Amino acid sequence: MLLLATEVREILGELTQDQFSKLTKRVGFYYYSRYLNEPRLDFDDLLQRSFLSMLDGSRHWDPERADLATFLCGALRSIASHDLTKMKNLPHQSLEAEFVEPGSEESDLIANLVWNEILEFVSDNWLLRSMVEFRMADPKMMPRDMVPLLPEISEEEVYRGWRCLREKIKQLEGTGGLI
Amino acid sequence: MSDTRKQEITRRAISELKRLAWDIDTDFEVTANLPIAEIDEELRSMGVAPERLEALSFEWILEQTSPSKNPAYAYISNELLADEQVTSDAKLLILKLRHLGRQQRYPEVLELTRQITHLAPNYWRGWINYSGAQVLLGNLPEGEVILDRIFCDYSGDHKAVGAVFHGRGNVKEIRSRLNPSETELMEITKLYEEALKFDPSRTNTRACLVINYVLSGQVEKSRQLIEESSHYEGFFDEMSHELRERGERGYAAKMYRVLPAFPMWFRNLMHGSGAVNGGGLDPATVA
Repeated sequence: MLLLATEVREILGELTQDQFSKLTKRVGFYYYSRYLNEPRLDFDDLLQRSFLSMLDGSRHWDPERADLATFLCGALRSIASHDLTKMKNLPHQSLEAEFVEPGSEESDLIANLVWNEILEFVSDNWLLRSMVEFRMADPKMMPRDMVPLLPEISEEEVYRGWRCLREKIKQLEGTGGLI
Repeated sequence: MSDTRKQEITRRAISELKRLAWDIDTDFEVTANLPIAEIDEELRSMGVAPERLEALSFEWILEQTSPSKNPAYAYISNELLADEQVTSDAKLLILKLRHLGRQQRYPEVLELTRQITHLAPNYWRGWINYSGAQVLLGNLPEGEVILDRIFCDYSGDHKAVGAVFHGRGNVKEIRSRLNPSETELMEITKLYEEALKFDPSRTNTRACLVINYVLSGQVEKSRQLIEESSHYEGFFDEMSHELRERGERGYAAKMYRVLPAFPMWFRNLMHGSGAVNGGGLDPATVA
């Protein structure tokens, strides 16, 4: 059930400072893991606008579908994406962009090399390898659609796979914390 | 295969892995469910102080819709007046207005600066304080005119000229409400640089310049300036003062971007455990 703006305001107002801090840190982690090196964005500004979009009724939260942190992360991502698009640049260039190009031998060759590189990176983790193979077949496939096609795995295994992926990316980039 | 192509392939592979990580996070609500201790650790590894995020509150969110805090705040000099060629009465007035400034009693500061400029009309410091008081009370044009006059009348006095350039940089920051454009940032850094050329002892100018170097992307310069300025007594205190005052003035001041750019030892000194490079201090030697 979608909450009214007044109901959201009441809920947010009743959060303790500790609860609010934890919420902010989760959203902060979500933001910095994506946009740490994006100078055109501002976390405080996006956080404020995410909250305000709930309070002014432009976005409606359904607690039965997503918890508050997830909803705020989604709102933040949406606002950031909108801002960056307005600035005429996309936040992330993925292989998908290459795949929609008219096929050429050169671009097919490069795409194959990229996917082979990716498979090598994740070869020691069966879950990640499986997910990459799904992506090779369909770059738009989402993890929630992959999991039902895999042998029964727990949410904890997915989290472990995510942590493993994050560590690999950190190592590859040689940085302390970019995902 | 050329190195350039190999690098490009690796870059695109990393980019795709990131997209997968983001999508797993979104689909399985990883961020929402990670233990908070792990979130703190990850934030620190990205150079983001979790404590800064803890300081935000729901009231802060609501406050952003109301008029924001005045961007102007006082920097109170501690420069000794003993050797200055002016009467003791004028020096006393300076000491009084410094005291009032620390208490943010700006209208009274303005009154005292008027008295000093009458009592000692040739004393540049009286005029600089008069300009500063005008700026603190929101009268920027008047403050700027006074700075221009000081520049003309005291062009041979390096301390006076240094103070003028600092004042001009300060006014430009206030005009932009601590959220300057890229062009303004470059102008501001140049003004503070000029101030230091004339008077390298200005520790508050050093602090302001460090911050503006980072905001304008000149991170290496900021680090060099930190190293050089660390040997000036009062610099650490001025840096804390600037970070605190600017941080209280909301997201526009962008202090969250400044701290991660600092060397870790300096970041800890300003914001963290206080651990310093090279060991601790014997309390008896702190004087």
